[in-house]
Amino acid sequence: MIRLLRRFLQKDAHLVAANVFFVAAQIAIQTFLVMQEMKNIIDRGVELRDMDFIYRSGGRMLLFTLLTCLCTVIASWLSARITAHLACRMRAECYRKVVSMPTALFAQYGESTLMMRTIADATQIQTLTINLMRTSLMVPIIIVCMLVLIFRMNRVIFLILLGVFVLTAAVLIFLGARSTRLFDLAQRKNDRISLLMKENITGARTIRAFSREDLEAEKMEAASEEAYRAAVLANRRICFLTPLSMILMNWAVVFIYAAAGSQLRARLVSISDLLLVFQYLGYFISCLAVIPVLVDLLPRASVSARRINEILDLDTEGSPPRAVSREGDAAGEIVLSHVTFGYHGAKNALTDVSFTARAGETTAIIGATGSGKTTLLALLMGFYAPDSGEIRMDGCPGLSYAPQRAQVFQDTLRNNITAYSESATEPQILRALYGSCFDEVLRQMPEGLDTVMAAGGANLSGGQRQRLSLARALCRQAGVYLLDDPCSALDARTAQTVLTRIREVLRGKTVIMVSQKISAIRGADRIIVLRDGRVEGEGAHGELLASCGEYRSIYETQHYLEREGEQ
Amino acid sequence: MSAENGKPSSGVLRRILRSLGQSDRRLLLLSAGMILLAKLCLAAAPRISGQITDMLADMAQGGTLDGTAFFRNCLLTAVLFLFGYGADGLVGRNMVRISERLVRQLRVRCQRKLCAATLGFLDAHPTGDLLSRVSNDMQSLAASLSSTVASLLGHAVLLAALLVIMLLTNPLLALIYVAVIPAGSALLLLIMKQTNRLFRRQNEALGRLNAIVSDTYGNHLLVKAYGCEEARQKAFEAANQTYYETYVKSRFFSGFTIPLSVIVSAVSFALICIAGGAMLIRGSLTIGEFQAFLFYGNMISAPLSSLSSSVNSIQTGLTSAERIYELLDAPEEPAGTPTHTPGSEERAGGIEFSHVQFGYRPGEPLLQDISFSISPGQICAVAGPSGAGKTTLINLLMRFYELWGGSILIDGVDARELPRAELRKIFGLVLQDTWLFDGTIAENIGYGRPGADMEEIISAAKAAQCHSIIEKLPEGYNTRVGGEKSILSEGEKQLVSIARAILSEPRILILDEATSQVDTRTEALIAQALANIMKGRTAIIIAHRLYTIRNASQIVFMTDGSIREIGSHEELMARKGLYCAMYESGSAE
Repeated sequence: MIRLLRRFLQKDAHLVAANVFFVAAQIAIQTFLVMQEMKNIIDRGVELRDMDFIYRSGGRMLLFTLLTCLCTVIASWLSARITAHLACRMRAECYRKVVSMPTALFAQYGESTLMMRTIADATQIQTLTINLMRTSLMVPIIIVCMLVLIFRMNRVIFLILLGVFVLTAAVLIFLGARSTRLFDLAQRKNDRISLLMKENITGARTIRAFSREDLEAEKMEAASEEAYRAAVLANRRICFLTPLSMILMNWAVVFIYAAAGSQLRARLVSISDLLLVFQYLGYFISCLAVIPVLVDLLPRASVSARRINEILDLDTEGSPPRAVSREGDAAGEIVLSHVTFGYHGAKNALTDVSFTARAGETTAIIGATGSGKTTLLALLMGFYAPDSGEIRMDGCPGLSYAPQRAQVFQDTLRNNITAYSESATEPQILRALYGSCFDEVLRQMPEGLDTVMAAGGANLSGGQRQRLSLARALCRQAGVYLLDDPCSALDARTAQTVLTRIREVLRGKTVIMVSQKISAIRGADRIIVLRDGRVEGEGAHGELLASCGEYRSIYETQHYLEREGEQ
Repeated sequence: MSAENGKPSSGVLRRILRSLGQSDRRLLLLSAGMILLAKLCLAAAPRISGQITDMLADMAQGGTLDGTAFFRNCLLTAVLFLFGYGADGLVGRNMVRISERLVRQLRVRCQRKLCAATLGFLDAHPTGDLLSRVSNDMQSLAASLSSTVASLLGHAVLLAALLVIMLLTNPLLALIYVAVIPAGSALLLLIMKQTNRLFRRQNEALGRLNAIVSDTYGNHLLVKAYGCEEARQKAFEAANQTYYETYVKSRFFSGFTIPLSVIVSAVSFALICIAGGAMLIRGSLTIGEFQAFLFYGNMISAPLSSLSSSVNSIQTGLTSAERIYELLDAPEEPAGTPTHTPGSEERAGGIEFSHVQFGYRPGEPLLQDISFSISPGQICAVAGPSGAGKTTLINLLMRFYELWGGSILIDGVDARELPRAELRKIFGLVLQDTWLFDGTIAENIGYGRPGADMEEIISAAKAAQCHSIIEKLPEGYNTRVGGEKSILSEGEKQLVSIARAILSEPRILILDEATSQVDTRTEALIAQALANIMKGRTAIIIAHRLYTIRNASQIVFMTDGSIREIGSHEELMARKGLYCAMYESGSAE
């Protein structure tokens, strides 16, 4: 955590210094000047029975107080700025790292934890920082001011206070030592409860169908017992942190009394000095209220800091694999030669795949679940580099890609369509909407292209979301279009219309379309049949029916009806 | 849901108390007593130490020091502080125990409720809402109960005790605090009200930032594929900057509360010094009393400034408690009156729907007079466009919902006469939305039958066509699934769910769009395997790909909550009706 703070505070070092200065000034005025006036009132005003002096002294007190307030206001602005700036840059850097992550790494972490690290964890650090810059910073400064003042006043009292401070610090360290780890543990137990609860909510039907309510209850009982123990354990010592330091600080008063007798007799100290010392102590004690806040914040912030550091320390520079070599000026021909690829440690997902997708033609890829279709698309987009073999793309003026499920942004329909092609003109947008048959959905929208989509596309059906994804891809002006099963969620009639319109809109472009359905690809110029990561057949629909057993068997399971109809 | 907005009702407090065990209620009472005593000690301590100062002052001016009285007062002060603050620690520890025990109990009760509540209730509440009740609300209740309750009570007692002791010591000086500090507190509240607006704006900015980051991360693949990192970066930076600005503003203005409280305590400090000085001159105040008053000044500002935030926190806690109790009040599946004792008699798996009527919302019937029967060993398919009521039939068959009218007979016995658990054991259910819990794949498949051994699990997986997929996973059957990250695709999860249902060896198997994400060839293989396993058993299949159900012995075709056509594929095709039209278009959509 210290590393993280240092890293981001360095740039604002001058502001931090100014903040420290103004907080110190505020405390110095309070202790050196304001409280000193109280001593003056007793020493001179009361002693000499000079009421005028007391009034003037009180007036000065108020004046100094105004000065303190000025310092506080400045420090308040400084600390707000420092903290906001720190968190702002931390988020930005985290965000940049995540965006530049290679796909495999991104998937390894998962979206939700990265989200949490970028926003929630940074907020946690932000909360801690503002606290450090304000209340926590006061504690050491007050200690220094007090010790300096009391050192000048009386050595015995100074030694007593020094002793109490050291003792208190020791107690705090002892009690707080393992708390970070314990609170971390307690939090993990809580997370486990949340996970179980979520399972109970989402699995309501399955749990009941298998009558396993008792098993779920057992799991929850065990987990909540563990959470209870972890929480009690984490709090066992922490509960005494503030009380013990309070006791020691207040005992300091008693210790000072014990020593005061001889000092007073020797005229080494006066009663007003004692009052002053007690006033300092009282001021200090009121600042100790920060301890429970820190106890609550520190463990959580240090967990957050660890998680953020982990992201920031990642080396993502230059890691996006540029597996796809681009050259020449033919209009988007793609050549795969002997491409073999396996995900980290697993069996090969693709083995010796070779084919050519000619410029301006539609090449379809068909195969069962797990045959390597999606992997092939990922390689074409350059997310991964093949383990061996080569992918060559000639003179490609850019890629466009339509995934099966579109993420819908909480934004207008127009911005959703042009998310990846910002310079798109109105006719281009409308053409993309036509090509994806989204135009009929558009007609039902009250504000047309300016309709704001609900978060996560909640107001769209599965089929509509898929067409939105397609529209987004069509809107982008590219040489090569990769379409991942663009009709999987569409009914047959719409699917046929969409396929016809895609052909119309993408005339002359290189299209690679992946599908499980024969009906979606039978019109393609060339069909590649994948099975277990190998090419089983290649050719047009008619040729494959005659020559490729795998293709025919897929055809038979899907198009029983057509033959029936022909009979 | 009344607790969503508005203030928590007082009833919830009573319920919390009732939820605590007898011993915890006693502990709570004991803690309250300790707080009372402790705060009295703390209020008295400055007076005693003031007396010591008086003794010393007397001595400094040439008097003699009464050694025993001096020593006694020193010891008394030390003991008062020790007990005063020590009790704080003990009470804190007690409150953590009490609140964590309460939460432990509520968690178990909530889980039971989630398993017993009617599906009508669960379906009507978004998962996020329910989850936030059982996790966030639970933690906020624990936090507010464990720390705020004790400190609020303590602050209130301390304030009262300080006021009394100050008035008794010196009414005039006490009046200064009574006048200045509440005025300051009122001003403080005013500022806080103003800054609340700024905080709201800050939260809105955070929300926007959140949305943008979520959009980018959710589309990581696309953003990279298109190289539009920069465009997204611009949007992000703008939102980040806005949040930065709102944060500085809200923090700066909320920072005004600090100088304000400094002023308030400084003004009272100065006034005490002036008035105290005058009284010291006149001799109507001893130096020790003067010291005690300065000390009270420090003590009194802390409870006052935290009073309003404590009240807020308690209100949050109570609102959370109310949301939790609302969940606990959810209606449960009625126990009914199972008159039929489940015997060992062999049941074949025949089902009869007889004049079934049902709707999800009162006054809006969905199914009207549904009657059909499935004979034992038959494979029955239910088809029709979405919204036809296919899944509703399953909901009623499993008694997830109660019938409005009519009856469902299973092997001649009215389903309502069977104990619910017995009824459900008859079925093996696979849903479109797969559910895998946090555990190994083997555990997830074994969920269907407690005590199943590895061999049985593997053979179920083989039948469901997922054995080879599982074998390719890094740790095979011991690979953990469920939880946050998942290495299985939707289709693969469906296969695992089917394996689970196969393992449970149900008399009647129900597949509700169970293979919607699986490719057609695998689907056909599963159908073949099922045909072997399910020999002599009944199966109900809902599928949107009509090809899947072509071989069913009976197809029930529904639209708008009523049955339109019943018969085999050939019969329905020959009829050239709705089913035929849909089949020819290739899909049930």
